[in-house]
Amino acid sequence: MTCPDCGSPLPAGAARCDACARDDAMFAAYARGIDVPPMWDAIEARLPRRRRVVGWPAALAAAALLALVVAGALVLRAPAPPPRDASPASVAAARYREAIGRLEPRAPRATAALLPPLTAAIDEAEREARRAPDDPIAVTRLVAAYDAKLQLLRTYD
Amino acid sequence: MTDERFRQMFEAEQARVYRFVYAMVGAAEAAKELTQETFVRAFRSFAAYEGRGAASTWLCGIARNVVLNHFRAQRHFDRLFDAGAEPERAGGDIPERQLLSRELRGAIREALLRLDPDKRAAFTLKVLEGMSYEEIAAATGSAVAKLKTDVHRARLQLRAELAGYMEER
Repeated sequence: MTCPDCGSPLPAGAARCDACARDDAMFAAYARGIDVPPMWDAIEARLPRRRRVVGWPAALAAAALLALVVAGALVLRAPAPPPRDASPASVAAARYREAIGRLEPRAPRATAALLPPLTAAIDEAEREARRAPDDPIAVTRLVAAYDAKLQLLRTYD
Repeated sequence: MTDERFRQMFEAEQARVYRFVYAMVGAAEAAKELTQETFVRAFRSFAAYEGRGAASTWLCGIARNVVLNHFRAQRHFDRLFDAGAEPERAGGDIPERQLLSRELRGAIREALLRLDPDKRAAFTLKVLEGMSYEEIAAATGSAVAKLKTDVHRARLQLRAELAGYMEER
């Protein structure tokens, strides 16, 4: 039997060597002794401001705009650029996909476990939006799904 | 609500993330700035993360990228931000500080900085933070086999460099 951490021979019945156990105790004590400074105020100051709560009329207007986005998204599934007379919403959807398409190939391996659920969420949101293109909730989910993936890719880029 | 959940996650994970960053850069002020940057970046993709995996794994992955990007920008890995001048608080009423002398704490910090960044990250997350190899693999994108090799080599290098202190203890 050898120590799983350093490979040195172990006495019978021992799970690891004394030297590794001693090392770990020392490093754990070192870690616990590191002072953690206050940081929240500085972080909070850099976060985007909390979104203003909108009233129903504004929410409905936003939903209508988002409905246009999903219509554009569904039309622009193909990789071709948007036509010159495309609506602003469909152009926005195309730009989401373009940005994702640009960042995804160079995403680091650390994202390997995080991207598939986001891609699956986009696929599911697209199916849902295709079934109910006038449903503002479905539209909102689709846009949120695009945005979530884009934000993650930007974080790791 | 998202802001509240993010704040809760910050409270739960800030110490681990800060300690990891501190071990990587070896200087308190740089560690503070890079930890803040880590949480600002985390906030941007918090909605995408929420509910997927351990927060510590996710945050340490972001922190590692923040630190490595910083290293790249500075074009040097060791002794960042004049690590040798880092003030250590005097020992006092905290048992860990009484246990480890100021000299030994400084020696550990500098020995960690002499590891290459991959080994330093793997060793810090495994030994200082007690994460599993699978969690570290998820955070860093490295294979478990490579991480085990990195931790093993880091351990032997640190043991050799700190041998004098270990004998005194």
